Amino acid sequence: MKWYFKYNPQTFELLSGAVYAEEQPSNSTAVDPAGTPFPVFNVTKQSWESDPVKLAELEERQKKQPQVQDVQNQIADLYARVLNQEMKGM
Amino acid sequence: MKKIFKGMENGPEAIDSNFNELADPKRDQVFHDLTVDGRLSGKSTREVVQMDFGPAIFWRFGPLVLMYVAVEYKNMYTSPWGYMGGFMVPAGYRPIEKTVVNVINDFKTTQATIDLNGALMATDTEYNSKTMLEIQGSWMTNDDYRN
Repeated sequence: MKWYFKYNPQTFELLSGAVYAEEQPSNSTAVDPAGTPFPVFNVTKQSWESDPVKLAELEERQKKQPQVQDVQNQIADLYARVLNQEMKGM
Repeated sequence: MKKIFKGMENGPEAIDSNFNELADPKRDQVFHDLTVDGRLSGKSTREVVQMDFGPAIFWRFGPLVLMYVAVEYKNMYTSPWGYMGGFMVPAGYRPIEKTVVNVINDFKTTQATIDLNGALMATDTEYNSKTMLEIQGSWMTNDDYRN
């Protein structure tokens, strides 16, 4: 018995519903898509690859994510600015 | 199922074969509509799956999956909108569509998503190792049972 992962025969995108069987169902592979974002099956290479368009969209979203500063660093930064202002006033 | 007709040879054997086929508990059945006047129960399983960072508990009741993870964050890593390393929902529990789960870390609640391929995508920028990390969620699966 093995796990088989089904894909859409037209788009080769991963379909839900992994099958645990002795015989391989049509349009499926024993290669686990685990860890591949937006998996599309490459029949020639017999491996899962990421959909390049969706992956680019994700990378764009990652870039837009605001970089949140650690609270302790923010306080230290604020303290340094206040100290700097006070020094100028002296 | 074999057709039974008048004068057929091996009629009793055909009836017996049909009856055995109907009585087989592993027989696949498709209903148009089914009304149950009482409790409807499916196979239920509980499994502790060892991941890179520690154990994750999965329950399954029919197509419904519940997951609970409580670990120290130190062995996990992530980036915003990135897959959480070392975390993978095994086949048998994967969702039918991208699903949202709750994450508690550093005394605040945030959310993450689980993809069809079983990977968990963190949506928060801040995870730290000072407190326990808890991940809890429930979703529907279309996978076969693992055992």
